[in-house]
Amino acid sequence: MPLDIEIFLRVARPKLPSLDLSSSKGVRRANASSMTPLAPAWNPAYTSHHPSSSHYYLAHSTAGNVTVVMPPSPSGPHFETWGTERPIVVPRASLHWGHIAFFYLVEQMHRWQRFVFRFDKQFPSMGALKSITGRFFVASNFLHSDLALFVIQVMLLC
Amino acid sequence: MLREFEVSSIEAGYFAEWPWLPNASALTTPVALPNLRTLTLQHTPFKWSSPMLRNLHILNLRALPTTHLPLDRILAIIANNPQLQSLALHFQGVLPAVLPLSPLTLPHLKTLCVGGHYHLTTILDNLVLPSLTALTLDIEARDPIEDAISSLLVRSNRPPLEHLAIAYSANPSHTAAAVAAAAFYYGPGGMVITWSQLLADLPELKSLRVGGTALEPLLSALAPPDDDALTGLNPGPLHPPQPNPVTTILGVVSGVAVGGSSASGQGWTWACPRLEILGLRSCHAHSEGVNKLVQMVEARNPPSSSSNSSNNGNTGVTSSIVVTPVRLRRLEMHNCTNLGEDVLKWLDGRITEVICTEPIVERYFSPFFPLSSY
Repeated sequence: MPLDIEIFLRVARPKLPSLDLSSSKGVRRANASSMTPLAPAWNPAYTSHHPSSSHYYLAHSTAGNVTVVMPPSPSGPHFETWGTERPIVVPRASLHWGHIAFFYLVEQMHRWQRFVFRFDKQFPSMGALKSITGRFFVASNFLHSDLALFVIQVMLLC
Repeated sequence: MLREFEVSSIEAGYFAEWPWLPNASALTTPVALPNLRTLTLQHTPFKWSSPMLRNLHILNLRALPTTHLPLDRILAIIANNPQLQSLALHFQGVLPAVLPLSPLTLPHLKTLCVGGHYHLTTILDNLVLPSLTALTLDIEARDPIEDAISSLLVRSNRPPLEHLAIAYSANPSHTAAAVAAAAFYYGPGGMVITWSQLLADLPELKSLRVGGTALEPLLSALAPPDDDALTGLNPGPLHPPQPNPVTTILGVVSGVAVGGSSASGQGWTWACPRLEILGLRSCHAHSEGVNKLVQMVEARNPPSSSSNSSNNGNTGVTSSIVVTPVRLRRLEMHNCTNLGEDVLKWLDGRITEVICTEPIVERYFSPFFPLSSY
């Protein structure tokens, strides 16, 4: 079954209810209305006249939305400028979530039909992107009848 | 299996060694991506010869600022995707070509966005785009860019361009200071001196979005033809209008002095008669700017009561001679000039949609005297 994958990694704005870290364990259902498209308005290709952003709406129409709310990023040597002022207790998962997620995604890479990953800024486990190499794209016979849509919205709380 | 792939970062981060698929070499990594048609890589590393960059229909590349590709390799990326329908390229660092460039025809390309380093104008100079309908340019301007656009259109056998945007990118990450700094170093990206000739060549244009140009020459070029001729603000035709029986008749019909539609296309007929959307960003006005705006709107959007709706419905375009242009539907002005409440209200009465944000800084950099603010 082909996979349609969208991952939006956004810097959550303060005062969002999702800042409540007590609810950040695990995975919870996303409120569809809370999933506003990550409009890359800075990109002339999107802001201009052609409606290339049609696929954003997929996020609203699917029942399979998943919002993963990550704990705050650690302020490692590379990320000091992000400056979070709260005292930080960093679960290891927040350091490595990218590796964890990509481990499973890449295992299924032969099923990828669409992969969209947008993020606001660099994050500690960004190196997981390196696991996207060509060796998993092996030719295989698939029925194109079904399409599984996975929309993962990751909130990075800073 | 893979049809669409995108990895986009808003922030241009630092990537050291990044051995991933877009960086793969076609020689060492035999990759089978026969169905990949849509690729977007923004602020991520990629290799110009990657097997991912083949046979695409939609390509959107925004290179890292640290990427410095020579022009011939950028053109090679395009050449490897001859079926492109939509292409967006943004390179901040571009090196002069190493290998000689040769013209490249993209028969299906409808949408082209090019932004970044001023060398990219050379890419435009080597493209032939017979199907082009939308052109977006955010190139740092060293020279006026209208010649590059005009020659692209001529070379492409005058494609029916409907949307043109020059230096209009709405980049929220660009603060006013950054925009001002860019204008300081490079001049505004929309450096166009002679609007009348460029716009006269765009009879199908429906939307025009411009940033960082002087307001008066642009609005004069969009004004009624007689305005152009009488005020002489524009570098109009060097020769006086030649009375032509056909156009004279039509000129009487339209009630304006329509001269000969000269081959050089210089403003004796309405420029852009189908224009519906006009967007202006950081277009500074001198004393005449608001007057020109009002005159242009008065002419294109006459009072609704006196305007004959059936007449407007007909677009007024007969063969190549224009009788009446269509009404402007939307006007956007961002950081241009303080219009005043009365003018805004008047514009609101004439145009369906008026969006206006007042200037952030009172004194904007002039493109002609960038040092004057210092």
